[in-house]
Parts: sequence; structure tokens; C-alpha cells
Amino acid sequence: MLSYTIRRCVVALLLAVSVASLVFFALYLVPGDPATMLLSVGGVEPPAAAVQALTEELGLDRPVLVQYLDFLGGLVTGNLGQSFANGDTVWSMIAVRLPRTLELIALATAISLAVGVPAGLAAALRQGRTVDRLFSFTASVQMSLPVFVVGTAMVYIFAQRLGWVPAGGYVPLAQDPARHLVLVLMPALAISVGFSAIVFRMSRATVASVLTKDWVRTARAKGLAEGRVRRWHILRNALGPVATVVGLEMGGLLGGSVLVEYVFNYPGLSGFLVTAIENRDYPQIRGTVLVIAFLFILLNLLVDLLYMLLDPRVRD
Amino acid sequence: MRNRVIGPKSIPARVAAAAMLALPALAASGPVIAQDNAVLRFGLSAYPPGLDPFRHEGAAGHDVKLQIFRGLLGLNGSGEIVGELAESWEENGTEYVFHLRQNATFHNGEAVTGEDVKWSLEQIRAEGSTAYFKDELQVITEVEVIDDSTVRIKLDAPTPAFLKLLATPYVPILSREAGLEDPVGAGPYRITATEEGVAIEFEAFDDYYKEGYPKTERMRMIAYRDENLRVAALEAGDVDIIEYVPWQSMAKIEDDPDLTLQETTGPNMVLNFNVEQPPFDDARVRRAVCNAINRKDIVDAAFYGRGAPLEGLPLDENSEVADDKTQTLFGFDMEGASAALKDSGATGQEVTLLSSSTYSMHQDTALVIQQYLINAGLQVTLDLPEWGARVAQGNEGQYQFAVNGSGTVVNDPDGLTAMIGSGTPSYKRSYGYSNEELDALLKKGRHELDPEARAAVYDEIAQIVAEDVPLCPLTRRTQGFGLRQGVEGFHALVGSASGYSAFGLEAVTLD
Amino acid sequence: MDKTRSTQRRGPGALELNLGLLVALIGIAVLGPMVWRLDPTAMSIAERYAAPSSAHPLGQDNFGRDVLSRLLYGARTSLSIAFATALIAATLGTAAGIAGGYFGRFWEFATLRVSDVLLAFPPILMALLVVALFGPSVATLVICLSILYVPNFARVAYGETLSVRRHEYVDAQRAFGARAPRILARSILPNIAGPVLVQFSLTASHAIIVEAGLSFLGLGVVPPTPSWGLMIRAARAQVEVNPMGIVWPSLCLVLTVFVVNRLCDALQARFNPRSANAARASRQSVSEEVVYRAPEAASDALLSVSDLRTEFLTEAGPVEAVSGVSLDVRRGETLAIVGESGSGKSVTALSLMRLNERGTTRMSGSVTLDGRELMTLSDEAFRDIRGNDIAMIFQEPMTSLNPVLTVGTQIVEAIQAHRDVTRAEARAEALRLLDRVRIPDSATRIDQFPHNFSGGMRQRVMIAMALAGRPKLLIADEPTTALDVTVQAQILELLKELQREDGMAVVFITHDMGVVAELADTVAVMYRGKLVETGASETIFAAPEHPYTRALLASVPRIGAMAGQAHPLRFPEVDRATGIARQAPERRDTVRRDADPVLRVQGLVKRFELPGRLLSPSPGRVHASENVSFDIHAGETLSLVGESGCGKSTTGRAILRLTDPDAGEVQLAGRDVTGADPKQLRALRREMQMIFQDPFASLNPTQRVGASIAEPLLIHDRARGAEARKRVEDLLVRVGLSPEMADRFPHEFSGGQRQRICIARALALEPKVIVADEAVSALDVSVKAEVVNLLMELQETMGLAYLFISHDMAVVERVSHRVAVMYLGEIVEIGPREAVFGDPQHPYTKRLLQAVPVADPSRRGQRRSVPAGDLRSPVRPTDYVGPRREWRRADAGQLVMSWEEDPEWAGSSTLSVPS
Repeated sequence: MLSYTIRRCVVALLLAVSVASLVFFALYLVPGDPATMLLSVGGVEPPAAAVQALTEELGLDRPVLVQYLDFLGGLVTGNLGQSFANGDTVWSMIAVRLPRTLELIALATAISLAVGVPAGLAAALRQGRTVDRLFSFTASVQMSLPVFVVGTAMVYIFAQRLGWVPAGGYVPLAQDPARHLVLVLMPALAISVGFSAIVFRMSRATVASVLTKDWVRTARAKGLAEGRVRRWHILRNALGPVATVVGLEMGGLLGGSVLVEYVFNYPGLSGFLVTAIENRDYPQIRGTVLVIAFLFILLNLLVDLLYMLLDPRVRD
Repeated sequence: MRNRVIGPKSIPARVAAAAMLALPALAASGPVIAQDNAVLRFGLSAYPPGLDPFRHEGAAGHDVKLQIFRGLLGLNGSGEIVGELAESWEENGTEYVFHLRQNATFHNGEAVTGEDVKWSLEQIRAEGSTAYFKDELQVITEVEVIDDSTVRIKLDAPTPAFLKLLATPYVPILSREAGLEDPVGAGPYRITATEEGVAIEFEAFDDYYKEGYPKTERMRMIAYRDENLRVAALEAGDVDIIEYVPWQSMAKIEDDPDLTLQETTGPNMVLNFNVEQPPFDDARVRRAVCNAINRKDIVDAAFYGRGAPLEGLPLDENSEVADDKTQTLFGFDMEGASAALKDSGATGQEVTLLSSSTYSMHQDTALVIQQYLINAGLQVTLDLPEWGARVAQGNEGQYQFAVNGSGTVVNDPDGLTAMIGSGTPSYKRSYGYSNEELDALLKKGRHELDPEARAAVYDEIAQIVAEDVPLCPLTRRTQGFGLRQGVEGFHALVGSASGYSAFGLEAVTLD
Repeated sequence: MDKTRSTQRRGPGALELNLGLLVALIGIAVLGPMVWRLDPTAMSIAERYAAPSSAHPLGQDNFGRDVLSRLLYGARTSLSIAFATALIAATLGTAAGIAGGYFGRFWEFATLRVSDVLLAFPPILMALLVVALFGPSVATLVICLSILYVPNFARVAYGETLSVRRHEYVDAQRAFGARAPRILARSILPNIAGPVLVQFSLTASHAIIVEAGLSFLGLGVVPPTPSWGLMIRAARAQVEVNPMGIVWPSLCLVLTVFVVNRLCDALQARFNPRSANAARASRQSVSEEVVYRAPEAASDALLSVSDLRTEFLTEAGPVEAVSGVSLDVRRGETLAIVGESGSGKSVTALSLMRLNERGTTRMSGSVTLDGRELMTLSDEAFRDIRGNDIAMIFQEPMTSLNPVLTVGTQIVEAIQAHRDVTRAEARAEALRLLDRVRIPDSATRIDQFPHNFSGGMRQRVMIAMALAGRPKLLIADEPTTALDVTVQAQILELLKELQREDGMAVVFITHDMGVVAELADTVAVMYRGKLVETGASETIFAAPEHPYTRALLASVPRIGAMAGQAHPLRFPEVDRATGIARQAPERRDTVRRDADPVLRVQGLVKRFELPGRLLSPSPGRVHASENVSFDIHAGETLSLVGESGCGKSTTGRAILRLTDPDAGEVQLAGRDVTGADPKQLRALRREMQMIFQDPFASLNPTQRVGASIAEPLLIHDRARGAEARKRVEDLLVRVGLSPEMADRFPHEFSGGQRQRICIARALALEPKVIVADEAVSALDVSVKAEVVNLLMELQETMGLAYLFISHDMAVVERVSHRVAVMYLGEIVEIGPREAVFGDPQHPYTKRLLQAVPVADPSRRGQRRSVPAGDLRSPVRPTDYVGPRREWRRADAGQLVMSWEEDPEWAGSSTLSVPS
């Protein structure tokens, strides 16, 4: 198990580096000069001499390969480089953004699990009944609702029309806990609309398939109480595939929550990345992509390890 | 609709309704929308990408930097040049003497001295500087510190725009002691906390040189990149002032008794041409394009009726040379335009109009133009890359003609040089355009001190523009600030100064 | 469990409905703009935000453009982007996935790693980069999204290809000498099409949302092209002025995605039999129904079943699986319920435990235990009977235990379910139970998981669990069917012993008459849901009354029945109506001993390396086939026998080069098989064919059986068109089927018929040698007899040589000329059938033969008990070098490997045991 974990980690590392390298070279094909972009925020023309000076300052006049080796060397020493925009280290900026995104994803996942798993279990145990049909239909509708439509509607109704909640944004927890919670909850709920439906469907499907397993019949043949059969024999076996889907979905949100962040003005990692791309802030883009890719891969690794914990067959 | 009696069956519905009613009560009771009157909350259009004192870092950058840094001069609520660190000044053509305020101190407690002024100006002009005004300030030949509170600046030629340049956020005076690594200024506020990408907290600087200012003890600037959310935040009471009110929301804010709209004309929209390629290498075609567009429709569709058609030189509304001769060069004449296109053989040609999807005003303007030019006989397709690529294409001339937002940096006709003069290729100019006659006139205008003689020079320039069409003026768009009821003392500035309105935040009070 | 695959077709259901809706949407998108001919880009600024009018039914937008036409064109944009994307991604991804799954090695690595890299990419970032690179346009979007979706298809196709590749019909096709492209086109692609199609609709729905999302961000479709995402983006700013502006495109978007999602669900239900079953079951919402019917007469038996009926409520109406079964079981007695698949014996057992699927089963009748009526008990009250008074063990020990709980936990919970004891007490009791079922080293084993146990050991755990409640009655549903014969003997032994000790009554469900004879006091024979005959076991075997019972018993191969026969003998032909059996005529000698052997195998070796871990070398090798040598003459049947894992199947596959052997030589009619190049091999494969075990997996489900049979003819260009058709019909007739069956699909046939079709296919090229790998093992006893008879008949008429691989000793005795016994990859004894069966020499051969239950109650108890313990594993260390084997010829003419030095057999008698 240990060697398996180590091997997975090494593979994960290589994967993350190859993703970052891919991005590195792709950026050289993208039109738009970082120095010009940096000096012309908001569409104001920068002086040519300043652009030239900045280009030299940022080391952008060096050959691509030198820059690439520099980048790799930085990686080895754990240095993601410095942002073109303000000279801060890339990592320090990511360190500010990342916890916010993680909090959002964690909350959305928690809500989706809390709603999706029990609903999935209930529906699978009552296949074909009204409850099942209602839940399944609702889930289909939820999955058809694009997150930006949901988010826009939420902002319009709850903030603009009813004035119950602020119109998006972010406040640190220490500053105002209640407001912080409300501001994270809104985008988290918007994500959960689709996410919980995915969890529901996966839970329903795996529980339905576990229900047909011989060991469930064995458990019932032993005369176990139905509650124990459900918790120990059905749910535990169904959790693996659900965990896989949840992990995949969470990974997708790492870089893919951009629409939610846009709609709710949530200052997470995705929005940051978009800004970085707009500014052609290469170190920032590379660093962020690297971190996202690495987290994504790490998440998959964690899911695999969780799978191992849940299923002893994989463990050995 | 008639009221329906809720039958006994719909108990769940009633519970749900009760819950719905309870929710706002809950929300209202909590601290969620509680107001903090001692804090002025300003809705930024973006989180400033950086706070380099000399670089241009967008409107949000100005808003923040104007609170912590100040220069020799500034603008008052009417847009007039007033002293900031300089209490008074004398000028004689090429020589300016500034007398600094005795009580001016930097945030680190140091007094502001002539050496600081000299050092700051040198940093901007230095070799390898990335300052936005590096080129503009090359006109300075010498900065002489007469004593601790007196500085003499010599120019190589008379420059009527010089004071205007100093009254921008681009020329702040910084503490020489503190240096550039961690710049220290003398603005009305100090930054107490930043939440990256979210908000910046300010606290009044106790030793600010203007007595009784800033009026509000604390200020918070909160970034709302999305314009709709910015408006929503104002409506929801999350902020007191927002900048860049989107045009579609202006009417709504005007109609809202709790809100006030301060609307002024700001920058302009123009079309630039790549004059190295057909068909726009032909001035007749450029002129035809100018005449084929009903600018009113752009104002209506892209700017929701806010702003005005621009038919002359792209200058501020209140520019000293804005008169009939410079402002009415092109009118809407579809028939004439079609005929002109036919004459020049451009009819039926396929052309691509470059704009950007990042800003809806750019995109919507392009949409309207596309329709009119199709009517006039050109086959127009749109190219709408995101802003970064749009700028790159503009700089490299990878376009045929392009929608551009354009304004002078300060309210001075010399700003035209950057738009229609010869110079390094830039997306701000028509690619490849050069006209010696124009260049000579622009140079003359730049150094002409006599107002009347100067106005005459720009009238002449206007005639050449009407003939040779280095760009096609489209509209004068408006800029709006949204204010909550009870916010007093804020004045939106006009034209090119609109982006510097944050000068006045120090005077804002909340009831 | 019954292994019939339902092929029920439902009427117009969710699939058809949603497909219809989607077609309608596409129709609107394609035709709409032709009917509603307003230009979606034509502006009329003066009429901006105009309210709906007859000219503009949905009003006009901020440029005064017609909203309806923009929606219609938006549908075009949305759907064409979605489908183009899905199509490109599906083509590329499926190709990559198939290549990776089928060819393995480089392709597998490339497919999986590239997928990994692409999947680790934040999709939105990818889109942004691409859009920045090429500028936004429909083409950019399609390319970018396609690349993003390729890994999804690649993974699905890869996984499905791997699983399809394992099916025997792919092996069969390879065995005909089909080239890779043909296999991919005919076998792989059609069979992975379902899941790929599901992925396709999934992708399409996702693409619609992503396109809208990107356009919403201003990075997707370029204006003025109408797109719903762009319309939402624009309208979002204008909610106050024009509220409906945002409602219309949102509605269109949600509706379209909804339809595609539902279609995807319906497709999934259609292609995934499991969920289809679930869906089918779920359609009926009748709750479980139990009807009590008072028994006709009171009984003093422990268990008394009276007029038990069980119906399954299916779409086609109720199907009665058990029709009025009545039987009694006395204390300490063993009742065997026998019957072939589908006879209702398992359903009867499950009905007694009320374990049939809830909600779709209706039961009636009376069941009393110790005089207490069980049918009228509530579910809650019955739960206390289950596992307590009546316990049950099942057929599949591999799947009947929960894989994620330790065996200890599973036994403990059974104890605690019925007894008020602490965990520690329950654990102590569980340990005692494990000891009782003779699990060695129980103190360690109790904390292990089911997958650490062999099949036999798992069945012991199941028995321990069943004993937890000290039941009065144990129901054993085919408990030994899935086990090897020596393990089966151990388990039967154990059950007998436990029964003796506890005085427990046993209801034993089985299809194996040998087991019945071994175990049962009374026998109940079931046929088509009815009980046709009940009686004492001796009576039933000696004088069966019902024709079905007679037919059944006549078909049962009995070991030892061939003693004194010179040649293999066909099974008696039984008249189903009367049950009268007609003995088959004696066969002539079919073996062509005068000529050279048609198949010659010399020193065949095949080892499988176990995959190593990072930094650690391979833990060992499976010696599946070790120095195997034998000859087969034309017209001869050589049987390869042994228990699971002994390497007999690997040997068969290595001979056909379905897996390449590591060493050794195979000669077919004097030509080298092992060294043949691909072209030669294809030629050789005409002469040599294979029949597989699972008749369900060895026919391509997407091909008509006629096409399957014609496949080898077409591959080798032996016949085409009408000629091929004629040959197929001839072949069908030859294997006892009718010619018109060629047009049917495999699922329309029973297992026996399918096996006949496989035989017909194998015969198409008129081969000289057929490898029959457990070809009759999965068949019911009467069908098995028929298929064996067919094989023997074909041997007589065509002079075929068979390599008959089987674990069923009784059948082997019938069909073989010679027999080779394999143990741990090696042949330990080979010789004429009479010699091996009549005078076995090697201790393993003896053990194997002793373990076979004899279908004759009068010979019960003559068997010697078989030592407990698992079969030894064929895994050896990588550096293992086998000992030099000595061979000697025994008196009866067989070659026997010497075993005296081998510690495993040390002390085994060299004397033969009379059987």
C-alpha cells in the first residue's frame, strides 16, 4: 500500500509538471505582450521605452528555453516565481486565493453530500415509487440548470429584489462571521444545485446496484435489522463510487468555478486565473495552473486512498 | 388575479410561505446588512492589479493611489487645478516655481521637502523607468531645490499642458527616505488592511495637510468586477458609492429615490484604421465609413441613450478648443457614403472589424457599425478577441479597422498627438498613419501659449482630419457614479478628469 | 441463479419519448429559421425593447432584433456546437480508447497518460487559453471542447474494450484467424457502442452548457451570431428594462439540456442491463403481497410447506415461478430439492426465507416451522426467524460475503442480531464457530476480509455465520456448485458432520444428482415450478416414477459407469414424455492410430509474471502450464482434467496461440504452430478450432448467429453470399438446429442451442482438431448429455480430434479415449481412460476421483474422507526451478509422474484403492 501511494505521488508530480510545461509553451503562442498589457491596464497606452524597460526587467527578452529552464529550476526549489503585475511572489498570492476557493468547494460539497446521499438512498430503496420518481425528476431538472442561470437568478431575487443578502462579494471570517457565511453560502448553494443532483444520481445508482448483491441477501438472511443492513452493508459499499464522482467533481470546481465566481463576485482562484490570463501574467498563470493541476491530481490520489480505506480488496 | 383560499391540503405550502416570510426577518435581525456609518464604502470596478505609484494601473488603481499618494497639484470638485503639496506656484513660460505647504508630512512622519519633489520627478524620468509619464516629463530639463519648501522646474519649451500633467495621479511626490521599494506618500488616507482581490481598508491620516480632511474617518474600497453586481451592491446597501455605473442601469439609479446618479461625459469612442492595407489606405473610404454611421444609434444601443454623438475631434466636452470648427466634421449621410464607396471601388469588399468581447460597449458599438456599413455596401465581419489579444492585434496592425475607446490623458488638445500624430505603432493610433502636415501643426499646438493662436492651430488640424480621416469619431460616452442618499460632498469630474474623481473622496461625508 | 438474459423490449418508453423530443428540437433548429424568416441580426434601434407584436411574437431586444428568430438561430448554434463537439470527441476518443484497450502496450500508455494530462487541465483555463490563442469563434470553441472531451470517450472506450476483449467471442474470432481491423469492426465496436452512445449524449448536454457558459463570459460564440449564452449575457444587464429577455434564452437552454439529459438516462437504462432491470422492477409499485392459505392437514414435521406459490410481477404480467409446492422436513432430516435451471428450486428456497425481491413478488400458501405459521408473521417478526430458526447459505461464496467487512464482523453481527450478548462475547462465539467449521488459524483469520479467503473457506465462513443462531433448519442453495470437486467433498463432509452434531434439518437445493445421492434422506424433484415427485432418496434413484425424474436420472453421468466399455459411449437418448431411455449403440473405434498424431504437444510452458510494485520486483510467477506434452490422433478424444487453477485452460489456449507459450512446441498435422508467422498461423487456424465454456459470452450479441457462423468462412474467403448462406444452413442442420435460425440473435437461444451454434461455427472450416474448453460445464444435465452426444457423433462422422478440457470427471469418463490429469500446471498422470479411471496411480488422481459424488445412494459412504485444506497455489517464486520429473509406465498403460520425493504426497500409498 505504501509503495502504491509513493508511486501514485511520483506519477502525480510528473503529471503536474507536464501540465505546467504545456501551459508554459502554450503561453508563448498566445498573442499579447505581458509588458504592454501590464503597463496599459484599462486600455491606456504605455510609453514604448517603459515597455522595453519592463520587458528587460521581467527577463522576457531571454530565449524561451532559458526561461523554461529557469522555471523548472524554480519548481525544484519550490519557487513559483514572481508575479509580473506587482512583484509579489506567485505563491503568496495563491495562498490568499486558494483557501477561499477551497472553502467554497468544501461547503458546496458538504451541502451536496448532505442532500444527495440520503436522497439517493431513499430513492434507491423505493425504486419506482413516487418518492423515487419525484427525486429523479427533480435531479434531472437540477442538472439542466446552468450554474450561471441559477446564480444570476439568486442574485436578482435574493439580493436585488428582496434585499435579504448582500449582492455577492467576500468578507474575511474574522471580520464578520455571519456575513462571511452568507457570502460563501450563496455561491455554494448555486454550485450545489447541480452538484447535489450528481451525488444523488450516483448514490441512487450505486445503492441500486449494491442492493442486487448477494451479500445484501446474506445480511437479510441473517435476520439483521433493516437499518443495520442499510448502513453497514449497502451504504458502505456504495460510498466508493460516490467518493470517486465527488472527487472528480471537486477537482473540476478547482479551476471551473469561474462562472460562479463571476456571478457572485467571489474572489477565488478561478477568477484570479482569468485576470492573470487577461494581464498575460505568465508566472501567475503557470503557478496557478500548476497548483490547480496538482491539487486536482492530489484530490484523485486522496479519492483512491479513500477507496482503499473503504474497500479492503484494493488495499492488498 | 383573484385571491385563492388556501385549502387544508396545502399545509406544506403554508409552512413554506411562513418560512419565506421568516427568512428576511432573520436576515434583517442579523448583522448581515447592518450599516456602519463611520465607514465610507466605495465600490471599485476592479481590484487594483498593483499599487506602483508611477504606473498606470487602471481606474481602480487611481482610486486607491489618490488616497495614499498626492502630487504637487490636484483637481477640485469643479475640475480646476488646485494646489495639493504645493501651496502656490509661479510660472513664466518655461520656468515654474512651486512653494510647498509647511505642514505637509509623509505617512512616516517626515516632512515633505523640495528634495523629495526632485527625487520623485527624477524617478519618473530615469533611464529604465516604467512610469506612465516618463515621456511626458522629458520636457523637464532641470529640477532645482531652492530650499526645503521651494522647487524650481525648468522646461525645454513652453508647454501649456504642463500643470495639467502635474494635476494627475501619475506624478505623486514620495518620500525619498522611504524609497521605491515600499513607497510612502502624503495622501489623506493610510491603508490599514488589504484582502487580496476583495477590499482595501483605509484610515484617515491624522497629519494630513488639509485641516479637517478627510471628512470620514474610515473608508473601505470593495472590488466588484461585474458591473451588474456593482449596481446590485449599491442597491442592496453594501456600498455608498460606485464608479462606472453601467449605462443600462443609469435610468434605474436615477429613478431610485434612495440613490443618486452623477453623470458626466467621459472618454470617446472612435474607429481606427489600418492605413497600410486596402481599402482603408484610401481616405475616401475612411471618410465614407465616417458618414455611413448614424451615431445616435450607437448612443442608443451601446450606451442606452447615455452620451452624445461625436462628430469632430475626440476632445473633452469642456476643452478650450472645442468649438463648432473642431466638433462638426462628419455627419450621417448614407447616400453620400454609399456613393463614395462605389466611387472608390470599395463596395462589396469584405472587411473585418476588430473589437473586443471583454467590454460590451466595444462589442455593441461594433455591432451597430457592422449593420450600417453592410447597408452602405461593405461586407463586414467582426473579430472579437478578449482584451489582451485585441491590444496585441492593435499594436501589431493585425486588423483592418477597429473600435477603440479613446481619451486624452488630461484635458488638453495636445492629447491628440497620441491619436493622430506619427509615432511608434500603437493600438491607440491608426496603424501606419502618418501625416507630416498634421505632425507640424500638432507640434505647434503643443508649445503655443497664447490661447487664441492655439485654438486657431487646432481648427486647422480639424480641417485636415476632416479631409484625411486619421480616425473616425463615434460617440462621447458618459461616465456615471452612483451614490446612496446621504452621501455628500462627492463630485464626478468631467471628461478626461473623470477617472481622477477620487481626488474628492476626502471631502465626502455620510449622514 | 438462473442465467437467462432477459431481452424484453418495452413499448415506447422514456428513450423513444426523449429521442422524439430531441428530434423535434433539432427539427425546430433546422426548420425554424426557414419558416420564421426574420434576420436575427437585423437591427432596428428605434424599436428596441418593443413588446411582443404580431411581427415579433416574442418582442425585440436592445438592438431591436427579433427575439424569436434569435432564439431559433440560437438553437442551431447550440445544437450544432454540441453535436459537432461530441462527434469529434467521440471519434478521436473512441479510436484512442479502442487502440489502448485492444493493442495495449504503447497505445495503452499513450491513451491513458494523455487522458490524464488533459483531465488535469482546468477546463475553463483550457478554453481561455485557446480562445486567447485563436480568438473566439465557433470553430475554436468546437475544437477546444472536443479536445476536452476526448479523454472521457477514451476512458469509456478503453474500459469497455478491455471488458469486451475478455469475452470469448473475441477469442473465437481470433481463433478463426481474423485480423485486428476485422475484430475491431465486427466485435469490439458494435459491443462498446452502447456506453459510447451514452457518453455521447452526456457530452452533448455538457457541451451545450459549456458553450452557453463561455458565451456568457464573452468567450464563446462571436456576436452577432445568436447564441443563448450571449443572449443571457446581454439580457442579464437589462433585467429591469426587459425582464423577458433573460427568461426566454434561459428557458430554451434548460429545456434542451433537460431533454438531452433524460435521453441520456434512457440510453443508460437501455444499455446497462442492471439498471434496466432495476427500472423494470421499479415500474410495478405493487407492495409485497403474502396470502395465507391454511394447510390441508396438520403436520408434525419441523417444516411444513403447503401449497406454496410464488409469482413475479413482470411487465408481461405475473409469472408463476413456484406453483403449489407442498413438502415436509422432519427434524434432523436432509431434504434435497433437485431440478434444472428455471425449475423454481431456488425461488422456493428464497420464498421460505421471504428473500425474494421486495415489491415484485406475490406469495401464497402456508409455511409452518415447529407448528408455528410463518406466512402470517409481520416482516419484523419474521426477521427474528431468519438467521435464528432458519439459516441459509448460498451458491456463490465469492459474492455472498460483504467485501468491506471482516468475516469476524459479519459473524458477530449475525450473533448479535438474535442474542443479547456483548461484542466480546459475540466475538468469542464467532471464534468458536470458525473453529467448528474447521478454519485453520481462526484467531488470525477472524480479522481478515473475505477476499483473503479461498472459495471453500468462504463457504465455511458462510456456514459458521448460518450456525450463529443455532438454527433448527438450514437451507443450502447450491452451496457447492461453484466449488472444485475436492473442496465440494470437504464442504459436504462438514455439513454432514454439523448436522449430526446439532440435529439440524437441512433443505439442500442442487442440480447435481451425485450430491443428492451422497446427502439426501428424501428428494423432491421440481420441474417448471411444480413438484413432480417426492420420496425417500433410495426409492427415487432406484425406481423413479415421474417421466421427468426418469429422464433426468438417465441423463446423469455416473462415474464408474463406463467400467468395461472399450470405447466412449453416448448418453442414452431419453424420451421426455415417457422418461424411457434408449441406450446408445456401441461406437466403433474412431481413433486413427495408424497415422501420425494430428496434434503433438512437446514441453509446453506458459508462465504468468505477477505484476511487481515500484521498487519491488515481481512477487512471483504463476506456473500455469509446465512442461506439458501429449499427442492426439485423428478421431481421438484426449481429456485434460483437473481443478480450477491447474492450468488446463491455459494449456488449451497456448496450443491455439490465443496466448503465446513461453516454450515448447506444438505441431498440427506435422506443421509447426509455435513458430508460425502471422500468415502461416492464419492458415493453421483453419485446421484447429475452439469451443468455449460460456455459451453466453462466446457469441457476439450484436451479430446474427448466421453471420457469426459465416464469419470464419468469410475471413478465409471460403465462401461468400448465397454460398456462405447455404453452408451456414448446412452447419445449423448438422448441429441439430433449423436453417432459418440463422437470422436470429444469440439472446433468442437457450444455453444448449448457443453451444450448438458455437460448435457449428467451429466446424465451418472443417478443422481437424477442436479444443473444447469446459464446453458443456455450464449446461443443465439433460442438455449437457445432448451436446456431448453431438460432439461424439461429429467425431464419428468427421474424424475430429478433441482436446476435451473439463473438471467434470463423470462426463470425461464418457467421452474420452485417453485422459491427462493436471495438477499445478503439470500433467501428473496420462493414459487410456480405462486405466486412469480404473487404476489411478498418482495420489492426486486418486483424490480427485474419490471426491466425485456418485449418483447412487447405495454407494454412499464408500468414499474416503478428503483431507481439509485449500488447493495449493500455483504461484512460485521467480527463481523457482522445478524438480526434475521422473516418469514411469504403470501396469494399466498410463504414464505417471513419480511423486515419492514430493513432500506433499509423501506417505501417500502407492497402492491403488478399489473404487
